Amino acid sequence: MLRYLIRRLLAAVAILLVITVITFVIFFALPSDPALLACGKTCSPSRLAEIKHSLGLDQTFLKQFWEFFKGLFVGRDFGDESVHIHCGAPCLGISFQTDTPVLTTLLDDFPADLSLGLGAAVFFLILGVGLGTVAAVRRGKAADKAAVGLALLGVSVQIYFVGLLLLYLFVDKWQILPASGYTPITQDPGAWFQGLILPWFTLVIVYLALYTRLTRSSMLEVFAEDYMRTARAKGLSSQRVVLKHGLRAAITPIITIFGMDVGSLIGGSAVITESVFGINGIGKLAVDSVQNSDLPVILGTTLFAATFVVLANVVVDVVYGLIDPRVRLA
Amino acid sequence: MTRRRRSIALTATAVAIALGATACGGSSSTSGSGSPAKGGTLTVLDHADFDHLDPQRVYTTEGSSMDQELVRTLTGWDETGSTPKLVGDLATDTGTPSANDTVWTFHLRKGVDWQDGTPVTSQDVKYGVERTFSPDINGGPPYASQWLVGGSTYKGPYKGKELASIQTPDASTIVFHLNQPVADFNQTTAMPGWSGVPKAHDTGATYDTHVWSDGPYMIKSYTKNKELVLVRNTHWKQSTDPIRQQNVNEIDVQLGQDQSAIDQQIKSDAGTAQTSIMQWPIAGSDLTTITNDPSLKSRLYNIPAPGINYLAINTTRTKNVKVRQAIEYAIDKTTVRGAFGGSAYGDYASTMLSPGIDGYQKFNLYSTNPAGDLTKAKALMKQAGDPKLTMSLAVENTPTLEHFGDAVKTSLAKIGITVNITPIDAANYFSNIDNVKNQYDLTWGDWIADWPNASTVLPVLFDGRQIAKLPQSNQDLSYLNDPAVNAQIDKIAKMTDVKQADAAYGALDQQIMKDAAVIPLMYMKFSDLAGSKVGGVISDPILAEPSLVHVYVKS
Repeated sequence: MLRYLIRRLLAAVAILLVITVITFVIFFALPSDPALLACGKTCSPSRLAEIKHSLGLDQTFLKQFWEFFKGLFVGRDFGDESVHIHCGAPCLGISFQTDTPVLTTLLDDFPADLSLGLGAAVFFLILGVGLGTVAAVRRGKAADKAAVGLALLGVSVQIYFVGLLLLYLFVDKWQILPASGYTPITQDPGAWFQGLILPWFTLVIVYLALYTRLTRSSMLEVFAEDYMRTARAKGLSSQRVVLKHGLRAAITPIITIFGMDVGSLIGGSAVITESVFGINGIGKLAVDSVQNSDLPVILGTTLFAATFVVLANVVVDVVYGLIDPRVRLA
Repeated sequence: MTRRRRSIALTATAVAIALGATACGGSSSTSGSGSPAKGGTLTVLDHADFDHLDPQRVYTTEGSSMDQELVRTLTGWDETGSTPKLVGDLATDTGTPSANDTVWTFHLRKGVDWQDGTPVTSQDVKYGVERTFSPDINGGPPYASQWLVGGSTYKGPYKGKELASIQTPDASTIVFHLNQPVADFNQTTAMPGWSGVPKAHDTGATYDTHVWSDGPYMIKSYTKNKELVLVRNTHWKQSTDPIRQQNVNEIDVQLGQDQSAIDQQIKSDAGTAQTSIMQWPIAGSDLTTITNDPSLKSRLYNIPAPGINYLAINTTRTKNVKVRQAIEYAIDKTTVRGAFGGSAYGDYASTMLSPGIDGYQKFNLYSTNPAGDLTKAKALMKQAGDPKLTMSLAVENTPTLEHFGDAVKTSLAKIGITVNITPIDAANYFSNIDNVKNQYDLTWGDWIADWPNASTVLPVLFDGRQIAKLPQSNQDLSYLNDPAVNAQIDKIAKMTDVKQADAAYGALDQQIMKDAAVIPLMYMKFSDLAGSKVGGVISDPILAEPSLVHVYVKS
């Protein structure tokens, strides 16, 4: 088990390294020039060269990569002529746009994504698996059709549509909930919860569909297995058959998907939801950084999200072993 | 100046439009004038963060407008009358030029203090302007480095060097020595960069979040891309300020929500939306619904911008003036304007200078019918020998601009020109088309004057010598390099009589239009919405923003 974990973690580090290289390469292949964007509307070639120098963009690709890589372990000092900024290890660089250390911004934004992603995940996992199980048990009956229909509706509507509709109804028209926005839980747990109800609901609607359908088909597959017939023949209650023998076997593929979804959600993939509800999370940060050609932030958000997806995968593999005795980690 | 409405708007607000039909019978109180109430919090809902708040780096209308609450510039605009009036702000008056407009002297008002109670001195202003030259303090307008003597080699104050062409004979006098006559220099000094920064409180590249205030409000907290909170600056005195008031206790700027959600929220006028206002214009998809709703009229601000939305024809690629004139006649401006949101977006244009700009003269060299004149257009094409042309058209890859592209394509198909639309990533659109390596036959552009004078429009857009001088940021999208136009630009720049210069700019506008290098499309207007309890908003035609200098919230 321990050896397996170490091996997986080493592989994870390798993947992150590869992602860093790829992001760097893509950035340098792009036609946009952050120095030019920083320079303003009328920019003489000499001024442009000065700004390039002050952003460190006049150095070679390899040198820039090495500086970044080194910074991850030993930190960096940014000697802008006007101000001295120390960026401690692990240093992801300093934003071209805001002149703040990228890691600070990421950690600042992270609680919002964590609240949004984890909260929504709990709901859509429980509801999705529940609905899917009901649909599988009552296959072909009204409950099945309702669950599948609901799922289809959910997967068809756009977050952008649902989000604005919910805002209009609950905030603007009925005024049940306060105008959106994220309040840290440490500041006011009540406001934190109220502000997240609609974003959670939006994400649940969209993700619910996937989990319902996945659970349903996975369950149906398991129901057809021999051991299920054996379990029933032994005279076990149908509740026990479905939950203990059926669901436990059916849940493994769902855990896989769930792990990746949660990883990417808390890593900032809920960008549209963030934008509609005015939650300033890592997703929005990533989109803005691409717009502004802000390499350090692009790298930071990419690495951050990748870290969570990779970690979630490791966790999933471990959980596999716990849920399904057939999987042995060696 | 840039109005950064260009970033991605998540498209398709079917919801907002569909709901618009049923929504909103809400109460609309009259936002009449009356004496402003004191106290309360104004909420500003902005789609994205400011480019900068550092006065020497800001170059967008949103940022410049917000800076008016924080910093005082040498001169400023009093916009309470029917037309904006230039007044002394930090300075006692609008400055005194030397006989040939190359030396400008300003005297500072007594009693203007920083937020810590220390007086604002001419050395603070000198230091502030000098910051502009540092490569760390980037993003702002180029005027200081263009005009101040020695500006081309000066690199800013951070290595201990001063710029000799800014003199401070005493603590309340500042003198600028320019390398050329600039008759409207005192309008330049109304831009945020011409303000003071106390050396002791300068945090260099991170000054955006630490702007030291001598205006009515100061920064309480500023988290980039999230929230800016301004509170009263207790050392600001109404008696020293001819432009601003200090009515609300707090200004809370929330950054980063989607524009359609902001539109919907302020339109609903529920809860805090009643005391909220937006700085970014209403989303194109919501514009018609909102502007056509009579119940919103009293809190809708339809602000004329000193700017022009236009189509440039690359004159080095389409050399035949007959073809260019044919295009002038063929473009159907009614469908073009439809793409931008209809009449609320602005009036049809026939000149490059817009009506609010000094130097504007009303004339129309081409079709008087905004839908175009196909007969004339076809006749001109015939004179040109009926060439079968294929042209590339550069537009931003936003739905609005792609619709615009379709409108142009349809118009020109009627005179036998095939248009291939080239959509370019909106975030990089201007850095792409401003680079002389990328040349298209037709290019969409817009321009907002830095101050309402032709000198920040025609020379910027038509001085052909910049093509060689500024290869990465060429604003001459038509690549017009007409020696007669260039010579006229130089001649007007030397005029010290403002009236004479204005008249000459009007004539230059006509001269340029004869070259048929650009097709002026619309004199832009920007529309913003406020909640029913927001009062004292002034439509600011200089920045095309709802000015907050007199804002108050009704109890």
